[in-house]
Amino acid sequence: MRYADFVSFIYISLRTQRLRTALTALGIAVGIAAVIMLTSIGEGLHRFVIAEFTQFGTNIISVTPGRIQTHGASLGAVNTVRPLTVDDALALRHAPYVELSDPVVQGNAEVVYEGKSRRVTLYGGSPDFAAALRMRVASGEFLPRDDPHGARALVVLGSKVARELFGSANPLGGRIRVGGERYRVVGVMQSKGQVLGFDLDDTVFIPVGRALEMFNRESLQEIHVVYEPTAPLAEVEEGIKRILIARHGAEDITVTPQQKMLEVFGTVLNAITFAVAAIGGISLLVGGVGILTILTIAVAERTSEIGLLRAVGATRRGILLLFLGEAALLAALGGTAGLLMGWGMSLALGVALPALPVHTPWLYAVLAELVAVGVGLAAGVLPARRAAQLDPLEALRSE
Amino acid sequence: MIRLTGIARTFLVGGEEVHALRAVDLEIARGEYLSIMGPSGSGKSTLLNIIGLLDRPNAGTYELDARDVTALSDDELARVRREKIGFVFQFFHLVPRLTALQNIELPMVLAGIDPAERKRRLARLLAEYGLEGRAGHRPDQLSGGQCQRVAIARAMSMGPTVILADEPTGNLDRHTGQEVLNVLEQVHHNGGTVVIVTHDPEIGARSHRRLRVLDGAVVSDERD
Repeated sequence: MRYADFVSFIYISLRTQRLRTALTALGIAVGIAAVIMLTSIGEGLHRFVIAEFTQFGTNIISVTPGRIQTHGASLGAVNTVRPLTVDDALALRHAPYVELSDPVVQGNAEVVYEGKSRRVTLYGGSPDFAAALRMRVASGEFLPRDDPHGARALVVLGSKVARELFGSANPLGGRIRVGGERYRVVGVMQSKGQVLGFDLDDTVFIPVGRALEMFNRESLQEIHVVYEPTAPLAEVEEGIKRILIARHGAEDITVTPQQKMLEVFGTVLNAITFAVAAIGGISLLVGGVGILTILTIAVAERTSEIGLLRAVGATRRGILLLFLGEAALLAALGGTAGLLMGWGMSLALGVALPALPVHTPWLYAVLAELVAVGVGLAAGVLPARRAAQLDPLEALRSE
Repeated sequence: MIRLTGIARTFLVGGEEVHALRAVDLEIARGEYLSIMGPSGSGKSTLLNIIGLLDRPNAGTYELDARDVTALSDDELARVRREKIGFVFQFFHLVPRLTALQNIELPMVLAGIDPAERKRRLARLLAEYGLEGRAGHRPDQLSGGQCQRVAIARAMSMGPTVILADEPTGNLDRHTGQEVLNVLEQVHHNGGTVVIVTHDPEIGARSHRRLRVLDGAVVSDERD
C-alpha cells in the first residue's frame, strides 16, 4: 500500500465518524493541554527563580565559614573553625581573577528617627557591597572607602526604610539611631523590590566592622567574591581556597559559586516541572484509554470489512498498520488541538494573572505531541492486533 | 489452471469432527464457466473458500497456475488472493464509507499500484460495468444490482485468474439477479474463468459445467 493511500484510507475512516473522532481526540487534547499548561507554569517558575538570582550577577562566589562536607568520623580530632574575618575578605582581593570581595554580616536592628522606629534587616558590608550585588544608589552615595577597622558611623537606607522614616523629606545627612547607636545617612538605595519574598528595600547598610560590634560577633557570615566574568571558575575557587587555607591553616570554609547554586536550583525546578508534567500525563493516559475503547469498538464494528480487506489481499501486517495508523492519527489530531488549547490557556493565564510567571517551552510542546502519538500507538496496539489476528473467513461471515 | 487433489476439510463442531469435504479431486481449466450446486451444508461453500485461499484444507494439494499453494504462509496467501482471485459475495461486502470508485480501487490500492495505472483501469472498469454515473456514490446510495456490479468490477480490477461468486444473486430480486448473472457471463465471454456457488438450479443450468456436491463429495460433474 502506498503511503498516500494509507493516510487517505485512515483519514476517511476518521472523517466518517466525525463526532466519535472529535470526542476521542478531545480526551487526548485535554491531556496534552494539561501537560502544556502545567509545564508552562513550571517552566515559568523556573525562569522566574533563575532571574531573581541572576539579577545579582552570575560571577559571584559566596565564601562561608565552616565546611559542609565532612567525610568519616573525626576520631576525636579537635575541629576548630576559625572565624572568617574582614582581613580574610581583604586578602581575597589578591586571589587570581577576583574583582571585588565584600565581607557581609546580616541581622535585625531597630532604626529610630524622630520617634519613629522600625525593625529592619541590617547588612554590614564593605563599600563594594552594592557593586557586588548590582544594587544602585538612588541619591547620595554608598558607604565610603573608610578604613575597614575604623569606619565612620554612616548608614545607607533601603528605599522603603527611607520612605517610612523620612516620608517626603530628604534623608541625606539625617541622623538616625541604628541598634541604639547614632548614624548619619549618606545614601538611599534604588528600589530592588522583593526577591523570593525577601524585601531588599526594607534594609539598612552600615560598615561591616560596626555591624560585627553591634551584633557582638567575631566572624563574618559570608564573603561575596566577584570575579571576572570570563575567568575559569575552577581556578577562581582554587585561588580563594589557597589564600584562606594559608590564613586559617586548614580548609575550614565553604566556597559556593552562584553558578553551582543555579545548577542546584535548576535541578530542583526541573524536577518540579517534570512532576507537574507527570500529573498532566495522567489525564493523557485517560485520553489513551479513550482511544483504546473507541478502536476496540471500531474493530468489532468493522469485522466484516476486515474480512473483506483480507480477502482482497491485505496482509495481517497491513491490517495492523491501518488500525495503528488510525490510533496514531487520532492522537496526533488530539495532540495538536491540545497544544493549541494549552498554549492558549497559558497565554490567557499570563494575561489574567500577571504575577504568575508562565512560559511555554517549545521542546515540551514537541515532546507532548510525540507523547500523544506514542500514547495513541500504545492504545492502538491491542485493538489493532485483534483486528490483524481475525480469521478472514470468520470475519467475512460476521455480518 | 486449478487442480485440487484429494482435498479434505474437517471442522470440529462441539467436539465432533464434521467432514465438510472428503477427498475432492477437481480440475478447472482457463475460461470455464462452472457452477457448484448442492444443498446447504453439502460443502460447496467450503470448496469455494478453499479455491479462494480463504480456507486451508486438512489434506490434499492445491495447485493454482502450476504452483502448489497448499502450504503457503498467511502473507503469501494474501498476495496470491490479491493477484489471482476475484471474490463476489452474496452480501456484496462493499466498504460503506468508500465511494463506488474507491471500492473498485481497493484491491489495487492494497497492491500499491501506481495511481496513474489505477486511473486507467478504473475508467475501463466503470465503462465495462455501466457504473460511470455512479462512481462517486456510496454503497447506501446504490441499488443492490449496482452494488453487485461494483463488487464484480472490484473483483476484476486486478485481472484475476478466476472469479469466485458465492450466491451472487442470493440477496437480489429475480430481475436484478438475472442482470448480475449477465454481467458475470460477460466476464466469461471476455475469456475469464467464473465459478459460481448456488443452490438455484436455474442459475446452474446457465453455466457450461455443473458440479453437484453432496456430503462433502462431488457426486456429479456435467458439461454441455
